[in-house]
Parts: sequence; structure tokens; C-alpha cells
Amino acid sequence: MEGESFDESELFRAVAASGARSLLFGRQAVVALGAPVLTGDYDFWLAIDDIDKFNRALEPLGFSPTKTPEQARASGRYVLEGDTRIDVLIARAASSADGERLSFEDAWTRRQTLRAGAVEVTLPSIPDLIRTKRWSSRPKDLEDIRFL
Amino acid sequence: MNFFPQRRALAEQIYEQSLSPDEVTRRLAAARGDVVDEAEARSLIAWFCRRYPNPIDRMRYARRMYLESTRIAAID
Repeated sequence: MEGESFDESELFRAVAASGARSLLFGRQAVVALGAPVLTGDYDFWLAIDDIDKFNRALEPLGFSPTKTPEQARASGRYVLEGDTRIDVLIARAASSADGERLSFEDAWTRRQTLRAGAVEVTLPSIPDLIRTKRWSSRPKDLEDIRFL
Repeated sequence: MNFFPQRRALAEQIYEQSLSPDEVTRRLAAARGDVVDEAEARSLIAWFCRRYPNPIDRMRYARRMYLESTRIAAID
């Protein structure tokens, strides 16, 4: 059954060991920080040059990319499909509807790290996470902002 | 006739639809002034972090409960 054999510890151990600069964002980042909301997938914001490192690290866990690195760079997004779904954003920057821009480099510089035993989870600072939530500005994003 | 799938689809559509910048500002301002809502959010976070002190366990719980909820909805 989908999602039954997937293990979060293995995922984050592999992500940390990959050497790729990646930030967990989306709803699971809000959950990691303590908000009791539900979601079925993971979202990572990845440095545009680190697609190969990231994909190679997750391949042993059964994840396959839906696009080649060139296609992913052109479209700005791709998905890693496996026992769960990982959405990957590779934009250099993104903006909300009211024009507030956030670059990956700035978000990376201000990143925070959560320790989970021997595993580390890297995610944007809370103000930057709120900025990413304003990119889509759906009711579910506002619910997440309320917790942040 | 079972209307549940249609209602669920409509609810998901509303929940996933982007709001205008003005509407976002209005809703955030309203939430900011709601002391009861803020206290409830803090209480929920405190409970969740007590129950699952490890962030990995929190994410595992969120994903598993989400999958369970979608399976129940499919049965309904």
C-alpha cells in the first residue's frame, strides 16, 4: 500500500548526506515546526545546480525523477516519485502575488536546522517560510501561516 | 444518492484556490487580532510537540494520518 514502507528518517538522512543544498518547505516544514496539520507529500526547494546530487541520493530509496535535470531546470519544478511523492522546486527565486520576492540564496543563508536524533532537517527561517506560503496564498496556506 | 465525493471535491477546490493579495491581507489581519484563535493554535502546537517531540515523528504522523483520511474518504 502506498506510503507504508517509506521512512522519514531514511529520507532526511539521505538528503543530509547528499551534499545538495535543499530546504524542506511546504506543509511538512510547518508540521516539523510543530503545527498539527496533515499532508501526504514533501516539498523541497533545491539549489539549481544540485539536482543530480539530490536525485542520486534518493535513488536507493526508490525515488525516480519525472524529468531530466535539463527539463527540470527549464520548467523550474519536477517530482520524485516513489513510495511517497516529493515535489521539488528549483527556481532561483519566486514572488508572491503582491510582488514580494524571495531568492533561494537568501533563504539558504537564513536557513534553520532542526535536530531529530542523529538526523538533521534543514528548512527556511520562519519569516521566509511565511513568504513561501504567500506564493500560492490558498486558504490552506493561510492556515499554515496562522500556526507560524 | 451519495453527494459526498462532489462535496469533497468542491471543498478541496475552495481550499486550494489562490486568494487575491487584498483578501490575504484581510484574512491575516483578522486572524492576528483573534486572541482565542491564537491561544488555540498555541495549545495545539504545545500538545503536538509533547506527543511527538521529534520533528521526524511529527512529519510521519502528518503523512500517515493524511493517507488514512484519504482512504476513509474513498470508502465513503
